[in-house]
Amino acid sequence: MGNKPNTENEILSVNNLTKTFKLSKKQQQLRNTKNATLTAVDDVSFKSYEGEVFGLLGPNGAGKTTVMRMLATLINPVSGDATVGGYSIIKQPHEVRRNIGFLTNELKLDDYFTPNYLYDYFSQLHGIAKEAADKRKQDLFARFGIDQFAEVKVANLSQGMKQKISLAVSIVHDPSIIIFDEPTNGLDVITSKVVTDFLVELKMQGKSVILSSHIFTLLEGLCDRVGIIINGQMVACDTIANIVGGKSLEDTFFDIYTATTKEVI
Amino acid sequence: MKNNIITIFKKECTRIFMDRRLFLTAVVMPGVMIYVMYTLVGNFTSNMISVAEDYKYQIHVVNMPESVNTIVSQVPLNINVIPASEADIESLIQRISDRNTDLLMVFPPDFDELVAAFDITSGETAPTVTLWGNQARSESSSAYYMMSDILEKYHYSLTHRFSIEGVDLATDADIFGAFMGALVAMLFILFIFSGCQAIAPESIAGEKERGTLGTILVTPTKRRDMAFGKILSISLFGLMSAVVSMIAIMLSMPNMVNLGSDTNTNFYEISDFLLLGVIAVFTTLLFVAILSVLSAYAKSVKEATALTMPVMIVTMLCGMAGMLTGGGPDEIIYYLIPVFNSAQCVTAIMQFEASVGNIAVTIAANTLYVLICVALLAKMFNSEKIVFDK
Ligand SMILES: Nc1ncnc2c1ncn2[C@@H]1O[C@H](COP(=O)(O)OP(=O)(O)OP(=O)(O)O)[C@@H](O)[C@H]1O
Ligand SMILES: [Mg+2]
Repeated sequence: MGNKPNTENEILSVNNLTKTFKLSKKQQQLRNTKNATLTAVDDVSFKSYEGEVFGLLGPNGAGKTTVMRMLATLINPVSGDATVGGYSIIKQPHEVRRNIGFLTNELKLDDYFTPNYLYDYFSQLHGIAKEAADKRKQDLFARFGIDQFAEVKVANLSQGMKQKISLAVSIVHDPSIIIFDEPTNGLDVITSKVVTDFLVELKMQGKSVILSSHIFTLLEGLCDRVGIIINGQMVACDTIANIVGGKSLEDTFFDIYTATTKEVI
Repeated sequence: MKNNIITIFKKECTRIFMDRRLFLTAVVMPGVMIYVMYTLVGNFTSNMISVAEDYKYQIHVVNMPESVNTIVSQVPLNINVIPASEADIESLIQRISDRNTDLLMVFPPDFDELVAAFDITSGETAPTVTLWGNQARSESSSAYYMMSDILEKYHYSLTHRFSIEGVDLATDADIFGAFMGALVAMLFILFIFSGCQAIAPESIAGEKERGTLGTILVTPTKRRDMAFGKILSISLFGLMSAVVSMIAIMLSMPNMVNLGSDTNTNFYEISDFLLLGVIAVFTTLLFVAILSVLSAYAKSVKEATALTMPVMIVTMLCGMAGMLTGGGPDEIIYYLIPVFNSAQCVTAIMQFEASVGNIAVTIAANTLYVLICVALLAKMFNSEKIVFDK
């Protein structure tokens, strides 16, 4: 589908990333554990190539968001490193931020402002020249149907519209690497399709996309390669064809899941 | 029904007890604060009203008569009687006006002989002793009452064979300044504080709580720029709120100090107001910087507001210290103490004793503290514990 990824060119290289969280006594009780630390991401390594859509697939609490937050330089790994577009997330976080568009559900837009204002605000934070920013705003707002709501406060917009605005705002600087954490979470099928269509468009433009989801069908149609992450560990990472071997991705996932966790589903 | 009351009651209690920080800030801290504040305020005010216990009153006397000298030496008072000549009178009066010394008593030469020879029925003016004091200086007014009391008694024992004349060298401006200096310094500092307190928690802890802070953190914005942007914008609003409050004080000033409606209260010059403005700007910046750091540390707006309480109490105490020190010490070191330095400068300005040097030290010190807070805030914005811990 579309452009072939350029497997010569590593856009993302994740090397033994590990992240632990200290658990308070209260959290330990809630989790029914005596361990004071929780390993949310456990020695994860993978690569992604230029022009590729890479999917991180895993159940709730697997560590997808944690991996992506580390890639976006919001949190630091306890060990390991990753290069994003050639820049180390540890040594060159500022450069990494310049080159990525990051979207996640936990980060919100300020309710008091209008899409128009917010778009301009983030354009300026990224240092985009006014004219280029206006042109891109027009395109993106038209593309997502934000234009009619450009002057309505975010607080008064629907969930779907908010997500589309977040999406537009996350790529004001036309980044070459796009990291989207569950971009269709909480959206209806129509808005979901707008988002996934847009992801395909980005791929066509030669962008590299890192995507996380627990929705198999979403990843199946979209990704060149997927990594399956369970309990913080990367248990499989390959092209979809190689992983599934004829079965559906969903069935494959269940097989892997039961094999890894020894749980009976 | 009843069951649900218990269910909801239990859940709410669990919520508060589980959240140790909320419990501490909402339940324990106010009590601790009240205790600390009342204790300190009590100490401060008792210090303020009375003159220091071991203070030696400086009393200058021209032509001290033997009789009065005997009486004065017999009363157990902590006074220092300094003999002076008639030639000193003018300069002593000036020093009393300037609030540099306490009291001047001028007796006519040969007072005792004159009194002994005076015949009340003669209709002539009695020998007169004149006391020069200054109400605007508390030591001076204490000395005045002490001495006039002694003379008064002596005067009765001699069946009115001399008269006492008292001269208060305090001008309207002095009285006004002494009163306003103390009051305005306190209000000034508090108004600036409350202006900043109203905005800082919302602007920083609020953004954290709503998850909008992280959105900015993924952009290549320097953390230091974020810190400056935040502090400067909050300061602008804090300052606006303080200015409105200050204008209100200034307008109501003549009503507050009952000098009589015909008294002119325009004692202050434009330069005094400009200096106040400069102090206001640097005090606002300092408050905002401190409150921003606290707000960044807090997990919610509520917690941030609770954390500002101790700062408010320190602020009130610094404001009151302005009354205590009356005009401000001259040692540079005092102007390095944040908040206290601003209060001292304001008191001095209101009492017509502004020192450009002290104000400059205050500005320099505050600038340094603000820069330290900016660096700290930038570091905090970079810390995942601060930004993401829920
Ligand atoms: N700040 C934190 N403190 C303690 N534990 C955390 C923290 N952040 C994440 N975790 C834990 O780390 C694990 C991985 O969480 P993460 O959010 O990365 O999962 P996820 O794969 O994104 O799940 P979901 O599909 O539900 O979004 C979870 O057990 C989570 O509770
Ligand atoms: Mg997640």
